[in-house]
Amino acid sequence: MKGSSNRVDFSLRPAKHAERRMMTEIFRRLRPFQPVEDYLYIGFGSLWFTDFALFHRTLGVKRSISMEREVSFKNRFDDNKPFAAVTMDYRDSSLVLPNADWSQPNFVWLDYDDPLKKSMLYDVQSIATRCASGTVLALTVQSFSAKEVDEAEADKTSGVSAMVRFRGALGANAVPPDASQEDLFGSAFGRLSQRILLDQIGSALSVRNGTLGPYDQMKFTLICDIEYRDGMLMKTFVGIFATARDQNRVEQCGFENLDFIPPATTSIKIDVPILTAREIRYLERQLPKGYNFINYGSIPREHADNFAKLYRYLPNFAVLEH
Amino acid sequence: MPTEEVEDTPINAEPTKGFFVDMITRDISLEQAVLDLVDNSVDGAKLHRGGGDRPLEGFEVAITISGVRFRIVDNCGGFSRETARDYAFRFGRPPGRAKLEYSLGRFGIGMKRALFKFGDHFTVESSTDAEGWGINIDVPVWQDDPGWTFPWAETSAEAAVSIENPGTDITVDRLKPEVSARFGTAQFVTAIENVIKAKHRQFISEGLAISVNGRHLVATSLSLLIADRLQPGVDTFKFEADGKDPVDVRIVVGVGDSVPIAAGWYVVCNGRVILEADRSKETGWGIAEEENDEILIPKFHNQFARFRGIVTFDSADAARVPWNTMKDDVDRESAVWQQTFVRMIEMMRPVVDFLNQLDANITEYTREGSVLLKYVANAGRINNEQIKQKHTFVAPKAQDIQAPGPRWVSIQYSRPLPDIDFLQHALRVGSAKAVGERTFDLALSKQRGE
Repeated sequence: MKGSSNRVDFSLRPAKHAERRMMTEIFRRLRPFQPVEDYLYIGFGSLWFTDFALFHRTLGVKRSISMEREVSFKNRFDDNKPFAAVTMDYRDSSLVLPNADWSQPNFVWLDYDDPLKKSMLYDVQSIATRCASGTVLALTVQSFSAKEVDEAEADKTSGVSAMVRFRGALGANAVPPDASQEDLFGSAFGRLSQRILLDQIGSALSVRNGTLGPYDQMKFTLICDIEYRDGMLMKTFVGIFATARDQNRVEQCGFENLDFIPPATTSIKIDVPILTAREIRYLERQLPKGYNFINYGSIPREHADNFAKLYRYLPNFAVLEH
Repeated sequence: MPTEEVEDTPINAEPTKGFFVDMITRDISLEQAVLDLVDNSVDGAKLHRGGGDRPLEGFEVAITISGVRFRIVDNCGGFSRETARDYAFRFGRPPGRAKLEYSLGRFGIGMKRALFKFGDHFTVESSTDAEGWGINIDVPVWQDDPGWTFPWAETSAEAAVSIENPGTDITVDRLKPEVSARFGTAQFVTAIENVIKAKHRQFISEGLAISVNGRHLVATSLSLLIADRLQPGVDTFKFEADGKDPVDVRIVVGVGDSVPIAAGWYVVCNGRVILEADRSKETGWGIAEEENDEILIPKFHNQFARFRGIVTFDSADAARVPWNTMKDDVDRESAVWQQTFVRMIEMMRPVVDFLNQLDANITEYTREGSVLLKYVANAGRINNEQIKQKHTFVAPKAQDIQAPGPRWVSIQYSRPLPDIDFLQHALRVGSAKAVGERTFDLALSKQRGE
């Protein structure tokens, strides 16, 4: 999280806002496992604690932990905590996660600013080896390009390629053998990062499950993955850990019925439409659409269609000057 | 009286099958077990090898791994009914067996160990160009039966191997839970691909086609840098002893790409890589001379990231090459190894010296100004397999290629982060390093009045 607290005002990001609202909808469905307000939320609140405030307000989450490495600004973080429900933990996630309370299901959102690195693999491993059935894990990584791409560029004389560095940095067994140089950029990098993280979860679970009986075998089910642009291209995936015994509870959660998940897939792309306030009102009056076509008027189709996909999740900005 | 009868019956010292199976499967990892099976296929291919650069061209090994089944199928010639009946399924290698020249499977236990390790049911079907046979074993049932035999089974009609396509097809299912859990993960499959690519590098480069879950493994090449003034060191020699097969040894030392994880010694026995990129005391790193306590070879540091050493041992008698029973380490008691080790240290020394000089040159002149680094970066590449002739290691000296010109010196200083960020934006550069360079260049031109 190098200095991002200093740079970006986290409140004015429409795509991120939409993503947070979707995350709330996912968490809201966890009732079959335990009352949502009894879940412990663990995340990176930064200075704005936007997600913490949102989950407390909308879901009534009573206990949450914000992990923060910048101990030097402790006072400022303490003063910005939105509710008593939020506890600060001034340690790196690698120390917080293995020592947190995993006896009940939690929801964790590892909202990293950086592209994939090894410490993230350790973080998901810490969670996968300990968490209770009903724990939801969301993870966000930057997918513009792997940092090894810049490293290779800066050190061209050595002739060591970005992919060789990437495999070295993450561990040779963590990176699929068919991954190639093009997979270190853009959407492909987002997909590769997701695959590597899911494989790591799979590995950690296989070790955990080795000593357990058939009903206690823990499985991780992907709920959805989200690609969005926030300055940089970002990739998020969300999934739920549940034992074989609890698979019926996962079904009861009915995640596949979430209206932002397109049919027959779990991949979501958030494209924030560029519309005027009048255009928004014009389109909203036709939504939700069934099988009717929208009257586009003079609005470009692409923006109108993107709006229709996400209208319930986008923020409403009111500019109070005319 | 009953006592007399009891006294006549000898004491039962027979091993139980359960104990035996447990013993042979205990100390081997899943990865090693898979490698043992691939070794058997390689041995088959070697028997029928062709000539030229790619003597194993045309031979294939296909491995399928999942949480429910393990399968390895090859077209490497198979083995006969007689071999199956009298040798292949014995635990240990019985005397009188004709030795397989240059083999990898000298200890005769690899296949059995893997079969029992993976699961409770296995089938083996094999066909030579003269005959085919099969077995189908339910392990728990076999364990309860007295006697140490396997019954023959019918080979299936759609068998992957036949007299027209001689080879071996091994399948294990009803996998043990801990095995099934690991076989079912993507990371394990990746680990298997990586370990086969590393350990069977030479056979793959000789044309053997290996695939894992349908994915063909591409040989990773082991290459060294070569140029007019930079040449790998090569030595070849033979160990001969009366009545024993000779051991051919080849040592290659040189400079490669700066990739720490690939640096170190590669030890190869009968084509099978035993140690790769070894940087431990095992292969000489950190050796101190006993008498003077003088360091002969330093411990490995990343400045030696370009070191490459390859030592290959080949012998018709697999017992003569210096590997251990698991083929994952050298046999340090082996006289062949001990004598070779001495020569390895001797050959290593000049390469380490050159890498020290390269590091000093970079420190003194910076990466951009170092002539040695530039020379190395522009050098060509030669594959390990192409290096054959004896040669002394040759490396350039800085003074021989130092172009006339001013010396470069590195400047290092610290400043508060907000100030660096400010200048980074103001000067439109991308890094703290670039801020330092740009401010220097601007101040210089200003002072010079340019």
